[in-house]
Amino acid sequence: MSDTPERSYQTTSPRGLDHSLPPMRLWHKAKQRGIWDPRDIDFEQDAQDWAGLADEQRDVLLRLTSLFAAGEESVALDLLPLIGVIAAEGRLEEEMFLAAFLWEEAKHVELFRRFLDEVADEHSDLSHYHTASYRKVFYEELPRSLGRLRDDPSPQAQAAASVTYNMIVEGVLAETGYHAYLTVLERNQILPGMQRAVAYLKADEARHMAYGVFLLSRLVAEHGDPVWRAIEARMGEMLAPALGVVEEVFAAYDPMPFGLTREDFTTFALTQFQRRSQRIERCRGKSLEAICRAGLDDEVPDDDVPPATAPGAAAAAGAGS
Amino acid sequence: MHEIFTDEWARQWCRAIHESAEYRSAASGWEGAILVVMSADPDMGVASERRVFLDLRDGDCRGGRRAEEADAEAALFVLRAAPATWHRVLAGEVEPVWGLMSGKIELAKGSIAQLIPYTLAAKRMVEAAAAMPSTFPAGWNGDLPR
Repeated sequence: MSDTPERSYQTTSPRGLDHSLPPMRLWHKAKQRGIWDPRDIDFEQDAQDWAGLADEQRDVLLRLTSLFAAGEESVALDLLPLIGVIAAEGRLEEEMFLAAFLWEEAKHVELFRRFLDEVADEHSDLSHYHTASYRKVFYEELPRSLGRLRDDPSPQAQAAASVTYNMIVEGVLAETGYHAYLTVLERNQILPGMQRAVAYLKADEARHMAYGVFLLSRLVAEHGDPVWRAIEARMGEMLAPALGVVEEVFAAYDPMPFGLTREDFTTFALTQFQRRSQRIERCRGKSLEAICRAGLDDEVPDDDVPPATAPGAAAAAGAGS
Repeated sequence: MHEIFTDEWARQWCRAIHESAEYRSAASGWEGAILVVMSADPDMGVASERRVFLDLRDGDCRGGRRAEEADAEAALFVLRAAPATWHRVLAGEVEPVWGLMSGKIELAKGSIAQLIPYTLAAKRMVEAAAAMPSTFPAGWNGDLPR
């Protein structure tokens, strides 16, 4: 007797691929808009700008870059157990998008290391910027909650992992951090290469967040209140350390360089966070079909990448709508 | 033992906060009063809105009472939620920062940015209230409306 389950192939069955599923629509968008190359970013002016910054300005940008770089490395390293669970459940369309998702995270890792090498010319150990809350989130909770899926692929464990990865790390920290970072760069008209790169990052992260919202919505629709309670419990555990990461950045400076404020981090994030949380909660008692029909187009706007290097934007808009 | 969100309960809550070493440590540097509002819900036994005022300064609670009209002006933060939400918060089912971030608890005055340094203090305040022997409006027993 063999332990290998009987294998069948979706793409050679009458089922084929369901292009109407939200993850499949995100896959089509990723193919069009996620193809930017970190090596194509022109950092020449950035290096000149960097040399002209004051020490405190360089320090806060280096601090934020070190948080982003290790954060991107962490999400690249920690995503695989979720992909494994989704693949084991035979959700081919979701796995296809997750392949793009992981590829994009790898590009983000490359981008930040390139900035450190070529703009900041920084090759020392930057982990001293990783404060207690950051370590709690990125050194402990993220790897633990995703790693748990190897032994426990239950819907509740998937929900806890997705809350940690998508809602907290990507939604509260990455999206918020990139928004604040881009605001500072634009306000001060510095680092034009990084400004362009962060616009790409934000567009990629919006698709990742859209998948996270879909995954949590699907889990809530399929499994009901036990999953919703797991989501609430995980939010309750993770929000304080996530906000602690922001606070610990501010605690390191007085005054804060560039006039950066806590509002730069929270105003945008809070609106997004509330909308997504409420969207997931509304899935309680809904059918899976209703979740899939609802789509996620408001999560991924059509004008989310700079036009100069997005020649396929028009086609992508058609594919995603 | 007093019914929640009444004048006596607010005084008791303030004393509990004041005596909490955990709160004192977490709220160092906090300057500002808060107004906590439980909106009306007759089905939950709350016929009209209840508002309590806490005068908080640097880890101390200097006074707690039923709020008066002028207190909204004086308060740095106004937090408002339905009885069902406060029930779940006090039962430990809704963590207060999650309640605020998700909009279940409305921050009617003040900003999340101002609260960021004091998320742990907010948690300790709720824990102090939850640990107090209190009575609850008729309608709070049985299944929670969710």
